[in-house]
Amino acid sequence: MSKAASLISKVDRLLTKYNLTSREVYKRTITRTGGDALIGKPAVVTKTDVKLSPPPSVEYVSMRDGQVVVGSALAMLGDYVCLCSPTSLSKADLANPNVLLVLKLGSAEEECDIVGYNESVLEGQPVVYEVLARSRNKT
Amino acid sequence: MRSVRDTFLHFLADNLPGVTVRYLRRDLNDPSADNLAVNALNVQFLNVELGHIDTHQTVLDLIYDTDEAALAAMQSAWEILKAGAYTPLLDYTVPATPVVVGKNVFWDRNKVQFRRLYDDNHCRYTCTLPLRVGDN
Repeated sequence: MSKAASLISKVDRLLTKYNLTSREVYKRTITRTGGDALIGKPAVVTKTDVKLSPPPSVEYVSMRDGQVVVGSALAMLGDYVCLCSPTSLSKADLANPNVLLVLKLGSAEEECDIVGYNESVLEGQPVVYEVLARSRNKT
Repeated sequence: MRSVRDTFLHFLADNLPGVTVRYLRRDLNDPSADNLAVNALNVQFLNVELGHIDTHQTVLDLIYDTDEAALAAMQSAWEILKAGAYTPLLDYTVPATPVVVGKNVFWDRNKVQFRRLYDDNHCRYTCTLPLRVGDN
């Protein structure tokens, strides 16, 4: 096993063991087909939720954090900084505008845009992602 | 109101071959729909004034990687806005079969002005255009 794979495995074990979030975190992929894309009227909208495993850590950005920058994005109060394993999220997911993070607690859910990310790399392979997520909708 | 937006978006997209027309909006089913796109004509609808003649403030943002492409797109947009001062209002409730409403969407073709906006990385022109809706 490479050093990177070994480290990812350790990160996965720690995230699973300590479960650093009170809410379940899902990756939501939205697909739109048919209809008229120009005027924003697709015929069919599909939202697919996949629970992130291992669960990421989720930390609220608060006043005491001062200025937080993730990737090229400056965090705002109320944003979430999540440490995610590459096992649960790929780089393609992070760059895909149709992928959101959804925080669920019971029947309540909060959709969050992925507004920026940093990656820690070992042997050319991402071993952990720091993701800045911004709330867009609560239901 | 929705039909004014749909009609104008189709007027632009159908008459500007080679120019990507993008409808800027807040849409829970399309998370990036409120982001400006590069190499596209971004269309945003602002204030609406309702009266005998309704007015819909519209902003056209042309953002391109190069001056040449931006100028070409701006000229095409200017030519179709200058050539006709109105387009028939259509109801796109069923997008495949738009229905004629019996009104027109019109604009003042002598006041179409694209202003250059400073941008570090792109060439950007913006035009604020009030669309008006009246009876035929």
